[in-house]
Amino acid sequence: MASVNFGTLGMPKRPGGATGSSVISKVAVYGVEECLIKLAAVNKVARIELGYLSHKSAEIIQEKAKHNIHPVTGNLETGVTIAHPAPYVWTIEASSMAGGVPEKNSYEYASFVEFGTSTTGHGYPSYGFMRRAYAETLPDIMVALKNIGEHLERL
Amino acid sequence: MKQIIDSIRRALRSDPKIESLCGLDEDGETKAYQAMAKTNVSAPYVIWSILSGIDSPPVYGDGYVIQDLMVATSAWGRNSTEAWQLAEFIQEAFEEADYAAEPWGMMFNRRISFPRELPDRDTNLVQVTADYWLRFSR
Repeated sequence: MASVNFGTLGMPKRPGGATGSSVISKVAVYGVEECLIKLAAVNKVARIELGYLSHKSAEIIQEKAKHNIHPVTGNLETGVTIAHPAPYVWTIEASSMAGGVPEKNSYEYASFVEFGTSTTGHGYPSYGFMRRAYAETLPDIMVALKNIGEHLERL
Repeated sequence: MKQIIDSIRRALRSDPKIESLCGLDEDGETKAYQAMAKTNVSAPYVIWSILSGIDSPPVYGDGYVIQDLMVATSAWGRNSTEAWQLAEFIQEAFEEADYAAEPWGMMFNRRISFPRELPDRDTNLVQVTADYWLRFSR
């Protein structure tokens, strides 16, 4: 642990002089090197663990979202993809136009399955396949974040 | 769980602002429906559904249990203005409800997504969706 020492270091007498002296104060921080090493370790571990958590969470949400879809053509199921636009940021996108059955890619309908359509005529309820996947994964993410925090505190 | 779902239904159906905007259906109920609206009901109306119910492990033994619910809402309107106004009323209803759901007590509720406006597939209706996180304990 770093510590700071501040104090007056004596009042040396000048040879032959009767009075007067200089005053020296010393300010020092001890343990800087050890502290920086620990901070570097915290930095490294946090980056690794948070990076892994964000990636893994995105993959889990992706899999759960696929699982929540009742496949008809298979385009929406295979059209759930993840992307990594920035460090520690992962996005999960569902698009029927990005599905794996191109000959049946006629129009985008992902949002109609996710949020439902009106009941005037032949309406469909909201399946919420993406939001359910997120909601089901959130408690595990919170636990994992807490564990990372405790791990970092122990370093 | 049933008591909680009943309290959410009551919160939306008994809200005077939602009732004044949506009106009553042919059964005399405020047009706020779970999962699916009644056939041929006309906009504006509210659809809500439970996205997930998470049974958290007991805290402090078995005497204290937390129940988290993710609730999805859709405010259907004949135009954008009406849908957004209804979405605002839904949020206020969630904030002001008493959630009488013995033995459960409300701990907190918060909106967990930005409301968004979406077109309908088959009609000119507009829906504004928003999700809420409700936490109960007993």
